[in-house]
Amino acid sequence: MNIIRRELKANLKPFVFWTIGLFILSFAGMTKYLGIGAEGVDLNAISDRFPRVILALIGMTDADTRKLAGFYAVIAYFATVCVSLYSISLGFNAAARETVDKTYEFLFTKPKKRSRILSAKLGAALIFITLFNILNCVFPLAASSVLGYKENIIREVALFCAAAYLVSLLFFSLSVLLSVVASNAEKGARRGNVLFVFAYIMGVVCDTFENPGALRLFSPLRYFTSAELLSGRFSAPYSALCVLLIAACTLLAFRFFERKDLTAV
Amino acid sequence: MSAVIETKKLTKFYGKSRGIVDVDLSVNEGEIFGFIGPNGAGKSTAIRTLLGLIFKTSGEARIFGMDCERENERILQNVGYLPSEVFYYDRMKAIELLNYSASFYNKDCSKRIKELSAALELDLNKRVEDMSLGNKKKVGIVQGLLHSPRLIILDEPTSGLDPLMQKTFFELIRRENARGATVLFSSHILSEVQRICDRVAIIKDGRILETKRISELQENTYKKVSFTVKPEANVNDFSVPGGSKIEISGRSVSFIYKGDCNLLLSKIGKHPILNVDITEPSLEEIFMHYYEDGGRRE
Repeated sequence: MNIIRRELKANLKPFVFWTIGLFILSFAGMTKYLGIGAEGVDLNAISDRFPRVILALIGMTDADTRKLAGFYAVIAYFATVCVSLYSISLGFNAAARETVDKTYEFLFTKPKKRSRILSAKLGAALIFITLFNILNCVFPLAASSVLGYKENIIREVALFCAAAYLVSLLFFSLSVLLSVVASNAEKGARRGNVLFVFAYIMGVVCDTFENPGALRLFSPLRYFTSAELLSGRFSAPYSALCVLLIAACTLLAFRFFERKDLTAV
Repeated sequence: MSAVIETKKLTKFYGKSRGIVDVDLSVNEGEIFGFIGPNGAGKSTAIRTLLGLIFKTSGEARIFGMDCERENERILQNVGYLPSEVFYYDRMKAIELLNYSASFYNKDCSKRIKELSAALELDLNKRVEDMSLGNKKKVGIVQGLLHSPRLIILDEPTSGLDPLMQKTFFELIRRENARGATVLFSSHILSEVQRICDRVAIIKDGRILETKRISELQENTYKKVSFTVKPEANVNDFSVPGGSKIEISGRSVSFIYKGDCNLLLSKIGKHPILNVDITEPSLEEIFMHYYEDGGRRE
């Protein structure tokens, strides 16, 4: 408990900053829909003129932005990017922050098993990820209510947020594994970022095809597509894949961490 | 006397780089054991292997008779460690850090924290990030001792402490030792080791050259000899069996000598002596002698 408490305290400030960012993204995004509706702008007509790759970059390939749910899908895409990046940073912090800050000689010479220390750190990070994902769900609904939108998007928001939660947990576990496996903590952080950029680019590549097929496997950001989620489908195979990958990465991370030489960066 | 620390052929390589090779150590219960060698000799590697921060390549390492890797958690209940460089969580006050440290042990350490901080004149309400290196070191000393450990491992402990505080620190360590704690004291400052340790292991290039009692090292084994001859004399070709590190500067000769004192005196006596000085060498000089010998003893 002592480690969890310290981790919660240490990670509170970044959490507040990320939350402010998510709040701005959700409220500003949802407010845009109000403006577009008032001006009678047809975003679909505008977006049809753009090349598909540009739409893929901003997650607009299969969203009907004339409807609130479709418009929200675009915001949800960026929110997923946001929670994924936050999770990657939390994963790195949980697995490697002590070696980067050189405090490992303090913590890892205390009578606690390494696995228990890592569990406590991952547990604290998981609390923040879960809270962040709950807020990711609450903010658009609150914005919708505050802005007086008549359309009910509770189901869509719940599905998009559940998808974002799974994807963020996957990025989190990948980040933990990469940070643990890397001989040098900075290298681990770099690899986590490279992995996200790769996943993002692969997501764009997927979106440029009508049927990307197995390419989707390489981008967790496309495990749950807007088209599927807007039609109420939550991909069971990709959910299972996410859970499997999360479990495998976490187990491997613990295994490597148990035998890792802890040295300064 | 039972061994608190025992290593057999303990070896650690970082990839292809040498850490320590075939280190055999035996630190007895209740002693203050010095571990000396220059930077890069392998002192910290040996300590980190004992503490389970890094994993051995081969050999054996036991503390309190328990395996340092398999029973690390149990061992650390009774070990206090002060690293050579202290890094703590900056946003914490000293008292918060010490309470956090104490929370890992199943005992009330508040009284000890107060006692130790008072002895070291440590301001507990100051944030660690606002502290000088010396004060951070004091926090390190308190966190290493607050749970009254049976084994205290100190890696270059006095860096950053002013001479007065060093004196207080040594008194503190002696008191802990009198309480029954065993101390492993790693340093490259040999006068420190000389000041406090019972026995000493000399390490070079990852290997232990020798383990001896401090008194044995200083007892008649080595002499520091220097003499000056009269102006007309020539000492350029001076040599003596058992003499090493011979330095001839004009009419003055100085060297470290180990051997028969009669032979030494007869050799020197062949020259028209103006002045002669035979003293105990400092541990530093003995130590340097080891290095120049490359560890080839007896």
